[in-house]
Amino acid sequence: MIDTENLFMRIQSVKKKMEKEKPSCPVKALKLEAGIKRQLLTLKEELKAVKENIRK
Amino acid sequence: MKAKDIEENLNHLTNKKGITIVEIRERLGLDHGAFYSWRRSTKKARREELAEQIFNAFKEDFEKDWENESNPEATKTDNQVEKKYIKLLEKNIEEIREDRDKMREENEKLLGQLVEEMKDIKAQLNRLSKE
Repeated sequence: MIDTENLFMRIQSVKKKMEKEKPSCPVKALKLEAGIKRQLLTLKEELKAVKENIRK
Repeated sequence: MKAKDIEENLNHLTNKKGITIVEIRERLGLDHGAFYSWRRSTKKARREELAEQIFNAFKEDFEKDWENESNPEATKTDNQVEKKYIKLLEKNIEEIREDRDKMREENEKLLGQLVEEMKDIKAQLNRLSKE
């Protein structure tokens, strides 16, 4: 069972991270975006699982 | 190839090659006092001798650069190589910037979707808890 509150909090924290000032070095900025993308994709999968649980 | 003036030698090593005076002194096996008395000596021959010693101790750091000074063709080749690689680096940076912008855009879209889904789930959970 996925803790939905915790999941929502994690989404908010990624959102905050994305709103923060980005590094001016393009390489560092790209690495940061890649890390964010990985987190977002994980969250997406977890949200999908929550949705399926609700449907059941 | 011959050693140049002592100050020219030192400027070349410290400014162009990033070698410190301490490293130079140490390679020559001279302490601070000996090095400076030699460097500031009023006798030209003594200063020339130190210049020669520095040149011999750091030969590899002088040869290519000073050869080029007397060989415009070599300097031209060096400049062309430098320009080519600078161009390649600039091109790479441009590609990295484009990738970064593209990924940033994708992330924003993805986050937007997740926030919407989160709202839907919250609403569904509220409904379920009321039922």
